[in-house]
Amino acid sequence: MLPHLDAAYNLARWLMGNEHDARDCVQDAYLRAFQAFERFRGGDGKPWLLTIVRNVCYSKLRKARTAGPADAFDETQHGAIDEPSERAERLRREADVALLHQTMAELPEAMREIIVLHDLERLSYKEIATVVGIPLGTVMSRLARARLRLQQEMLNRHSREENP
Amino acid sequence: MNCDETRRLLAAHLDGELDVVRDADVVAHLNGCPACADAALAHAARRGLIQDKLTRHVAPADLRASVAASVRAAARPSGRPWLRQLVSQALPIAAGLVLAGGLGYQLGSRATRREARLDDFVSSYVRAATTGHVMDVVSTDQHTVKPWFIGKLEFSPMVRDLAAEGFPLTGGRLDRVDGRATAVLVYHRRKHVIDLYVRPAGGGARPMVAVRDGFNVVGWIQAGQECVAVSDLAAPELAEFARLWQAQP
Repeated sequence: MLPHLDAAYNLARWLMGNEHDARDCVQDAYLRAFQAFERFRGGDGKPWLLTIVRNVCYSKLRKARTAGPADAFDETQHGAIDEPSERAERLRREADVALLHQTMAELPEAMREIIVLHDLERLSYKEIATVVGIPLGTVMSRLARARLRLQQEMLNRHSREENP
Repeated sequence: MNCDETRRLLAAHLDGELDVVRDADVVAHLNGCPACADAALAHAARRGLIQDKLTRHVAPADLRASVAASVRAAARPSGRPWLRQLVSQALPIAAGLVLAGGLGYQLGSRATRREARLDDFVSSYVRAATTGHVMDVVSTDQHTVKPWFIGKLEFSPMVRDLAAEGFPLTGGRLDRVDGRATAVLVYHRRKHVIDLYVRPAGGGARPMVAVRDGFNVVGWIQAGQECVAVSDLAAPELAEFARLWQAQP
């Protein structure tokens, strides 16, 4: 009986970018969850488990990046982005799913994870604040920017493909 | 509430994460500010695209077996009997708690979301009635109302006239209900107005019968579209409307 396995795998898959590493991380996370169970104070198991999955993924990613330290995510750098215009509407109609996935895979991790946690795993802002370890206000602004950035990057790629 | 503050809260508003007071402030601002209303629509579109189209990866079938095996292996007799005991007792309890917690979470959040959606339909009905902005297109002809939605929505709503049954179609409008563009068909019954909300059935769509703030709500799913009727009409009459609507070819 393994609750939340799909949620765990989904998060790991989006963070690691491939099935092989995602499987390793999930395996590792369940073992840790099992060992750390004494520290589980009750409540909802899903955010608790996803916190562990997330930690396992990031420590594996850090190890892989021997070239240099991972950049801290700077909220201000990802601030103002102009609102996309009517092109956005057209793009939405076309709903280029492949482009969406490609763009999502290249978003900064901090943005990718917040989209996965909220829009796919449907965690509340409060739960995300606990899992990621950031204030509630930051969850709100980061999620809004992440969605905007994802769409913006899709539009950029879209116009590059149209006018090479 | 000013534009900056509203923009900052748009995502939280659409995600249903604001407390009622701030949410009402946002809604009030959106009703009076076309620029912010546009921004809200744009954010709703982004959010919808992501939530509808982005893949939620599902664990490969064999992963479940291999994770289960490694957890069992960890629980196997070791040199430390106290650990073995802890593990053998903790495993079922841990799994049970995590599962129970998860179920509670899903039930809880589902119920909350359902309530919030219900509120959204009713507040759209009330907003239309109080602002007098009930119809964008006024016509008793379904062949005028249906084409009016084309180009304004990404789906073609079902449109039916029930004039012969005593519920004449009088027009339609567009509205946003819990962040999604929705076709609203307006019917009359004596002095009462029935708003019928029609849109593609999303994840949370389900049949419902409810009373909220004195208004009756009946919802059903038909041909892949979610239909929600809201009215000040008495419950049996609204149920009759719903029944006739569904029965029409």
